Amino acid sequence: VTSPHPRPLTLSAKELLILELLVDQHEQYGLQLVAGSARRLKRGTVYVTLGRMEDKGYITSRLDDAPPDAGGLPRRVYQPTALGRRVLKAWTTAGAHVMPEFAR
Amino acid sequence: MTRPGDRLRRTAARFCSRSAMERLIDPAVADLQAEYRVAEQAGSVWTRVWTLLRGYAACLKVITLCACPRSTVVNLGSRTLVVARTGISWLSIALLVLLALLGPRAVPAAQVALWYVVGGPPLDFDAPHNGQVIAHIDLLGRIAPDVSRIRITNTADSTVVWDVKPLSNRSECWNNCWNLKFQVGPNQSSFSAGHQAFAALVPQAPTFSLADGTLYLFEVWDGKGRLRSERFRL
Repeated sequence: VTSPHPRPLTLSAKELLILELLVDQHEQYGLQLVAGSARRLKRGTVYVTLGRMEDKGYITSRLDDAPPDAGGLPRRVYQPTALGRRVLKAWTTAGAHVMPEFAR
Repeated sequence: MTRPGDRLRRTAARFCSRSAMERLIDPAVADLQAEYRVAEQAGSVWTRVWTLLRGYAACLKVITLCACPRSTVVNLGSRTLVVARTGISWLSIALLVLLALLGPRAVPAAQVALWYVVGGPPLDFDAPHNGQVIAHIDLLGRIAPDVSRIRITNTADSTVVWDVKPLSNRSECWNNCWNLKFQVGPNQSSFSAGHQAFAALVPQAPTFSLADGTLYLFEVWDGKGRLRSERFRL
């Protein structure tokens, strides 16, 4: 059911981290995000967070080509949307204004 | 051939929505399969087992998250910790009791379990020596490997040099009867492993010939269709 009110553009700590990694690397697999997060993301929950971020429109995903020889499921690659980039920029800018000591 | 995670995925598909399958379960299973492919090519048996354990744990966690109602997911951090601690405690106790009950039989039982998890008959090749090479299809404690087919292929032109199948289903080989010796020149096409006779489909002749310096692919299948392979040169 579509909500009558637009959802506020919130960003949790994990979502912020994922957006930073994706903006930095352009596109990554879920496991690459886990590996690049220095243990802050868990492989058991990263896809739940990624799914939520897709719902919010911060990121988009596509299926990678299936491995040619060994079969197996195709992997999902994630990349930030324009909205995600804008939200990240706004978030970090706002953070820098409110608490300059925590500015990245 | 069944890939790791396929069975778990089929089970998850019964109680997870299609959207959850596409966005949560399938990526986790794809990661497991991709990691296992890498571990299979480069790693030892323990690396493969560790990869499988980590991958399955992640998949199970994702499936639990899908199956839980939303209110449960909100408090998942604290609840997971409590459940995990309790689960680990009980598992440790069960493992200790099991080890005490099994005693000296624990090692072969663990080998069989490992074989079942990793898949396929355990295969190992000696280094060639004096124009001979020995393939060990290891016995698992006292459990004979259930070998359903053995094939040797010349990798240069992909021609099948040797292809044998058992004449009976029941695996009856014991006491290192699975040390297959190959040598430069003629080798016997058909053989017996214990009381189980193997008949050659290729070649029809009583012997097949292996050449010095040629790279061959040795493949062995078990009754579940799982394959182990290794290349060798005489």
